[in-house]
Amino acid sequence: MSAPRIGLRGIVKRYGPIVANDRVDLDVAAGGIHAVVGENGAGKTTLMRIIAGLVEPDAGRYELDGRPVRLRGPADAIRRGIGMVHQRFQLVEELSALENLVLGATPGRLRFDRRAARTAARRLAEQLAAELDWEAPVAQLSVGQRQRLEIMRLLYRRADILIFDEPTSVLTPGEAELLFGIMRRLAADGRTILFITHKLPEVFAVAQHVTVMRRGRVVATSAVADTDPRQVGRQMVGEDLTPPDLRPSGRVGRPVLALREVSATGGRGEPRLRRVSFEVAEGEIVGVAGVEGNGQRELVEVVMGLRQPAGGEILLDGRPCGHRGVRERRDLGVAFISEDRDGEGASLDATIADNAVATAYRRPPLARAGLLSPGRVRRATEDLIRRFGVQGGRPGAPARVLSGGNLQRLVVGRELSRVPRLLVAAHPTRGVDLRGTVFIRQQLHRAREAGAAILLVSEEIVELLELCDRIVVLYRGRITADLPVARVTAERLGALMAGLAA
Amino acid sequence: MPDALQAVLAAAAPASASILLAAMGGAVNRQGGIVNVGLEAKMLVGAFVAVICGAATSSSALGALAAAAAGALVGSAFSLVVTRLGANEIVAGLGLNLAAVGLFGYLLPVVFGVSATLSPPGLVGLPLLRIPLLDAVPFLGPVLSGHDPLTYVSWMVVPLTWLLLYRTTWGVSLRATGADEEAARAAGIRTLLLRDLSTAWAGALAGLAGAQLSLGLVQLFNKQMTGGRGFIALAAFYFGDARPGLTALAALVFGVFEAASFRLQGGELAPQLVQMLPYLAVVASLLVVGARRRRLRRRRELTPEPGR
Amino acid sequence: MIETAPAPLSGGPVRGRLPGALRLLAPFLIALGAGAVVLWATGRDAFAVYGQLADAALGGGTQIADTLAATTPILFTGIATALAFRAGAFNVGVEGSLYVGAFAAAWTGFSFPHLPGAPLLALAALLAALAGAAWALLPALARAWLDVSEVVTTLMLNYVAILLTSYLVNDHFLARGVANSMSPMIAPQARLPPLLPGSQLSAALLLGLLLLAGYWFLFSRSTLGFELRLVGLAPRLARASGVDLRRSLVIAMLASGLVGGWAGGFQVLGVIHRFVDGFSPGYGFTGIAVAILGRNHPLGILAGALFFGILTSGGGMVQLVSSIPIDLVNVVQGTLMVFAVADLGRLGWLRRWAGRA
Ligand SMILES: Nc1ncnc2c1ncn2[C@@H]1O[C@H](COP(=O)(O)OP(=O)(O)O)[C@@H](O)[C@H]1O
Ligand SMILES: [Mg+2]
Repeated sequence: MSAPRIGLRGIVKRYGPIVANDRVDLDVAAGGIHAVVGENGAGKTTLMRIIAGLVEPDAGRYELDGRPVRLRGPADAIRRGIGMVHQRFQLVEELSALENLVLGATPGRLRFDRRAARTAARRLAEQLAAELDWEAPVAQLSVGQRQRLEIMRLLYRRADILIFDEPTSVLTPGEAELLFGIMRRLAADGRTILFITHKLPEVFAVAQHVTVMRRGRVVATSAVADTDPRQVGRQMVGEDLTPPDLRPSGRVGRPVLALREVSATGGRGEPRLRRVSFEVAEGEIVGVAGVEGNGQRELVEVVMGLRQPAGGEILLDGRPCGHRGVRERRDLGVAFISEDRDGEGASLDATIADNAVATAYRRPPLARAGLLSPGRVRRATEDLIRRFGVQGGRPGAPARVLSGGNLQRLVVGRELSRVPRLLVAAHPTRGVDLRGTVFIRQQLHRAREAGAAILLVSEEIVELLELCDRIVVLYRGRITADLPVARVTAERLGALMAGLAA
Repeated sequence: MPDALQAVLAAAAPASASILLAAMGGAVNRQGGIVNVGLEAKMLVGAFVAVICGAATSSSALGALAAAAAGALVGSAFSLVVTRLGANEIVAGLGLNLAAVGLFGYLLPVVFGVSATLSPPGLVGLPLLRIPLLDAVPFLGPVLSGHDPLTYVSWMVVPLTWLLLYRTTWGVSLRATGADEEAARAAGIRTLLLRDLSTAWAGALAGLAGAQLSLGLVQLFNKQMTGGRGFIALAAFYFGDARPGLTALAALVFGVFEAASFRLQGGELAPQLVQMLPYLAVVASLLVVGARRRRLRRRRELTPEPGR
Repeated sequence: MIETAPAPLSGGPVRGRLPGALRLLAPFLIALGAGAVVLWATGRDAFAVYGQLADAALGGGTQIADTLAATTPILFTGIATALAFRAGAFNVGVEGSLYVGAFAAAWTGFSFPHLPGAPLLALAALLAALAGAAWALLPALARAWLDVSEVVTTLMLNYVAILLTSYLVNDHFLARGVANSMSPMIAPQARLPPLLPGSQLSAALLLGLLLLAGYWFLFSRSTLGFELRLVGLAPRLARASGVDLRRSLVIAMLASGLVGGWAGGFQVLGVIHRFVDGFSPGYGFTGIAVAILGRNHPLGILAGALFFGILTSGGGMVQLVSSIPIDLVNVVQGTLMVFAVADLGRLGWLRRWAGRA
């Protein structure tokens, strides 16, 4: 048998304490569609970025057609025929589609030959059976059109290995079908396609091979014909974690948060939340399950007061508060662990102390009558560091010195230093090391037992099943299921998150 | 009245040439992502170098070329500090202006023994060219013809800038760099180099603008002769959103203001009030753009979802 | 296309770091070096000139008093700029606030000659503050509600302020019988008391120091200051913590403009005693350099203001005695501004050299 188109041997990539890729072996045959699946944080994107020359591995061998290579950046990769369609498109919104197509492709030539570019563009569009307005600025194109433009850009540069990082997460079902058609056509032309996804049905719809990753490692690679969705789902989730007992005690009180037919729109005016209704009560963790991009971010922002709802009602302890700002809600006892840790959750430039008191600086004992006591701030920070096991920095040091896990402990500690009425926690353990993950889950559990109402947004099936009393599934901005945890299994939840009827 | 208008317009053409040149350079620079506040300094350097080299070689053409080269050199140095050392372009630009003003304020008395104005012997100004056909156009003849060569150059730079930005790969790459540096770099563009080139280009045009002042409008160097024209140029390319046509239009209109404000001296309307207009125009245009964008955003965000 | 995001002071991530002392001092060394190169190139002994300059600025009681007098407006503009910078507002319009504040103070001073001293001074200070703050209002609102970058609006409004006050003084409030464009003198009781007769030093310095203490208090002892700082340092964290970003931004900009108004007002009430067309040699821009070099820290601001005070007053004396134009000071200051915002740590060779030394 001839050498695989791509061969990876023992690839390792670390980010601080996190091993994003742990001794990964992978063979990708030429001329076909190879899917890579795994939960969030499994290391898929990192691996693809290594293949596309955007990240250099710390160790391991990378072969193309059996010959070892060392890529010097993405430009080098594209010269060797490797291109990537990123989760976040790398298009210049202000330029026209045509200009984006040729951007940087002909560095030696001065004249920008519009006519030649348009001819090439038309040929590519024909090849993909995807027409678009080449003179329009990219900002006016739909997401699907942008994605097709990205693909054409790679083809314009003669790429024959195309990497797609969760391409369907931003597409409507119709557009996803269109994309699959394109992928099949490209594979039939002999191109090699790597396809990352969360959604198992997609794997079985288009791919010939599937590789499953978990915690940075490749768990299995199989021919699609030789496996089935149940098996792949089990491989993705894994059963190696023995969860500490975080079962709810079941003492659920009055409702704290109630959403009634809440809608919200995204930055382009597209609907993101569609008439969402549910409640979270005292002593209860309600999980919001869903694949990223199905409205979770908007839901969290609407509940926190960071975004105006486009319609519906939000009640806190029975009082309508859709119009209230963040501060008023926090004063009513709402706490927030943001998914955006280095930004909304914490600031790497600010000191650890600043981060520790960023939400409590106005209240006694830290402040009285507008006057802040630096001594009390320091003591409060030290106290928090001790209670929540934050390691690696003194109060005066910039938060940059902390590892991701310790930074998150600091955030969790800040938000849970008093028992809140309502905690909104978005992906609280994402990117956190194992010990930190267990610790944070215990803290959530403890807050619930102390009577807090908790809204937990997560993609991690294990986390949801372990912690929640109830789980609502968010799919394309709608609540598609609202179930007590006892009636949910990992497989059923995975299916619901992927939009399959339960 | 038509005579007065004709006179103002005829004066406006050379009066706006330096603003136009500097603004076109600034627009290219802006498209590449650098707001060039240091145009004033480069104009001053150009004006000085033009006079020195013009006198030394007895050639106004060589003086103008040297001014462009000097402007490009200063522009490149400025650019390196911004692109390679990450300096904030606004503060660095203000500093450059101050240093240039100081340098000439120091050099004139110390080296040339004059307090503010330098007019070396043998200095020849730019010739005034009459363009045969343009000359004959009724009413507009004196407006379009009879100016120094750099005024004509300033007009030609407008279509040239357009070609450069929209019909060369260089221009496309530069605009990509300015709009989204990360995406441009991902496309394999050497964004820092492009930025440096665009700043050098802006410097060269600003240098030419300075030469137009010191060899075209008058035949001398004065340490205050740029008189804020670098900032009017900034106002012009901001008002014109860094697009060649609009920027040129703004520069020409501001040139008319300037020509008019000279004529107004001693008249009923204070010249200061006219001189304010470019600055106010920029503020107003920024507010209008901001308000329009906000209205669009609000409309999008608050559209309720139409039914299920 | 038009840029709206606030410009960061130095772009991109900090790649490498120089040792602290070198990082603080390098811009000064480069700037003084640039001045020295100019001096040597024109046949002067740079060391001797700098020595003369230091002597002229610090060599005696009167000299020191004049240096402190030169420091005063820069101290105000430095505080004004730092107030905005701290909250992430890039106000480069302190020069404009300074002009309108100076004019307001002068107008009060010569328009109400019958008021007694204390109320007249208080009124002048109040109107200077209001004028300065008003000048920052439009850019503040435009940034907060329309997302319009304050950099360009404040920069443009500087020139409007200079031209507007020039128009007012020339067309409406010109003093009789003077050659230059100046307003009438303010009433004698409106003058701030001098601190050292025979020098230019006035009580404005004490007000500046008081203000500096207030600045320190605001940012290290008050919740409002914490909030403003958080907004500047980490706007997204601040928002998620419940801080109203718009309100903070407007407060910081108005405070900045207000202090800028005082910078001009107290210069009029303390030193020049009338409004003079184009009187500022760029105090507002010097304030930017002071805030950046002093890293918005109260002591840093004081040190920066003193540095420029020494440079200005010493430069003025050197010009008088040895005919070296004071313009040289602008070369030093301009170079200093350029390198104050440059991240020299990106120069690998400099980093290595500093690591070895
Ligand atoms: N640039 C980075 N810096 C630090 N950590 C990173 C970086 N990129 C990825 N990681 C971490 O590596 C792990 C794997 O991430 P990623 O490859 O994005 O996973 P996936 O694409 O499967 O969701 C995660 O824990 C993530 O937080
Ligand atoms: Mg990923």
